[in-house]
Amino acid sequence: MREHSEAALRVRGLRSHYGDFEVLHEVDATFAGGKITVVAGRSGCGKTTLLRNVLRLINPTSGTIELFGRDISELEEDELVKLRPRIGVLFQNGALLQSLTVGANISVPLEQHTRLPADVIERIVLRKLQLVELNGIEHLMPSELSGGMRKRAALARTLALDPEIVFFDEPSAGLDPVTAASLDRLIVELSRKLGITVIVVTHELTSIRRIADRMLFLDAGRAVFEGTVEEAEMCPVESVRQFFAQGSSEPPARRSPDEARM
Amino acid sequence: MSDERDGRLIARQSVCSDGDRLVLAGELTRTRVPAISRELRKVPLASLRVVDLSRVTRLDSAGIGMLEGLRDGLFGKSLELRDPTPQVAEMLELFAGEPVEPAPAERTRVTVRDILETLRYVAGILIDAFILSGEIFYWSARNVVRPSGHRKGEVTEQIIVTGLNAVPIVATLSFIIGVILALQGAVQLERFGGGPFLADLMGLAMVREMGPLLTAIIITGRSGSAIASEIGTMRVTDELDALRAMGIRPVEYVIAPKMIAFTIVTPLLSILSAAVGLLGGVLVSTTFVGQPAQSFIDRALGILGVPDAAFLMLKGLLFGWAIMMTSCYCGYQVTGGAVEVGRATTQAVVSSIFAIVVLNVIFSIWYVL
Ligand SMILES: Nc1ncnc2c1ncn2[C@@H]1O[C@H](COP(=O)(O)OP(=O)(O)O)[C@@H](O)[C@H]1O
Ligand SMILES: [Mg+2]
Repeated sequence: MREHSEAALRVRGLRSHYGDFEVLHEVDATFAGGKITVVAGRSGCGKTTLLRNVLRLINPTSGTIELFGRDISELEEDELVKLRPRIGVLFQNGALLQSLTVGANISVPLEQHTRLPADVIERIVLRKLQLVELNGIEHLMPSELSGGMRKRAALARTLALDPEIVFFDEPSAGLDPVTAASLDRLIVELSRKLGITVIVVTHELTSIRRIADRMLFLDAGRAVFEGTVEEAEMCPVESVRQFFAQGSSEPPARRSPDEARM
Repeated sequence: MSDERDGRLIARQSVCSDGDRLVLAGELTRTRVPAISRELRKVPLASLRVVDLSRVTRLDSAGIGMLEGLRDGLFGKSLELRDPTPQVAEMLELFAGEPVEPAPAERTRVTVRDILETLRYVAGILIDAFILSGEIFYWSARNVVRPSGHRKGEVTEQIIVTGLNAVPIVATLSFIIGVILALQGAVQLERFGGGPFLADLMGLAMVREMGPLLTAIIITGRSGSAIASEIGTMRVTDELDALRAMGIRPVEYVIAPKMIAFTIVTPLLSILSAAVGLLGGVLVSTTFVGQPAQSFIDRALGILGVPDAAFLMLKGLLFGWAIMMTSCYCGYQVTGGAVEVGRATTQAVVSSIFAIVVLNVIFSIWYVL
């Protein structure tokens, strides 16, 4: 069994700019291996930007990004290409290739990074679709799917190469509560059963209570809190308090049997 | 001013002013504001201090906008809004906060710094386009040698899409242009008995100019625009980032197959275009000039040499590459949403045609030398 107690990803002093506009100011964060860490914060605070930096889709201005025990903040594209099959990303809208069927989409990473025979690839595709509860849609085009199906199909592609760490950018945004809940269940399963390190960007409180082992809180491009969800709810920092207060009118996610009877 | 006089005036109109006091009446809503504003333009407002709202029955955001306009016209002197009815007062309160300053307008005066900025910007574009072109050439060449960076069968598909599917339109247009060109030429040549020279004219025109040019224009419209919008859309929907995140280079996976297809297809289409255009010339020559087809073709081919054939293909190829680079660059520039994709597509077509014309000038100079 893999040892997961230490950090899978560690970010130190990360700064990031769009042009002259500084989005992230010296962010420090640690993401525990084999755990689900939720990155929360108000819209526009830099969550997606943090993700893009960590994935090196944009280049950080300064700081270090330690992934799989090495600093990747200055790796060349050639090196990154070799590293990326170990990393999975689910983009906000799935980002399936519109010109290919769902099945072809899922085989893209398998075809590009392995020399597996076509029939094995096909079997993997079907397995991954089964994992995300989408049997029999491999011949459909992405445009023929609903939003929730598209996200799950994209997740199947994300998982095609059995990544060690998976990033989700607002997985439940735009989904109905039932679909969102089933996606959350899937995320928890990935983490518990496969031991994958999961990092989820979201600001849905219900979702956070369902899945989070740990939380990172961003406020206007600064990391203002890091810790467990319980600690977060006690956290005196204003923006964190506000975040939890906005959801306090909702019913608690888990009711005790006593409450349920009343 | 007596109340009686107010009443009389207001019966006729909704604006009444005497020096520092303005009485408004009736509805101050978006249907009435245009007329009231017109009225207000007729009365002097420089010394205005008080607006009497007691007779205003309704107020909406248009009315408030108008009142704010009145106040702003006073250049900082205060304006009292007097005696509003309860509903009107509520409306005023809703918008009572500090007035929002409009964002400062863009500077319009051009300074030396602006010019330098623009130059730097243009240089930036050229450098970016140059780097992208380098990448496209590098990864396309690598994929010819080791075709594993893109989907299997993708090059074939692209050859069909950009090449084979373009054959009917290229052939039709070239034939028509050939006929038109030949008719125009024949009329002029006939006037001094130069009928047989039509073959020379058509040979040179179609092979050196019209063949590659027509092909390039059709390729721009069919494939250049498609490439720009495809890449632009892939940017908007994060597909390019998704590819990168999977450890796949978009230039290698998406563009290289198209580039390879372009390289094969554009010289061939240029030859096709020139040949079909000449056929148009044959038609005119046999029916109009009375020169038999065989002698027309012999003559037309006689005036052309091997260098011309090479030029034809080279020109087609370079035009194709120019369209490829321009369209990819325009697609890559998209950052926003669907509107920008449309703009990038237009930009790709316009810039491609511009690039083709510039290249054509260079070719013409080369011919002459
Ligand atoms: N491509 C971009 N160019 C310029 N500014 C951007 C770009 N993407 C995001 N921003 C800005 O960066 C800030 C953080 O954005 P983002 O990371 O997307 O926030 P979120 O936390 O909602 O994911 C926002 O203020 C946004 O306007
Ligand atoms: Mg975001």
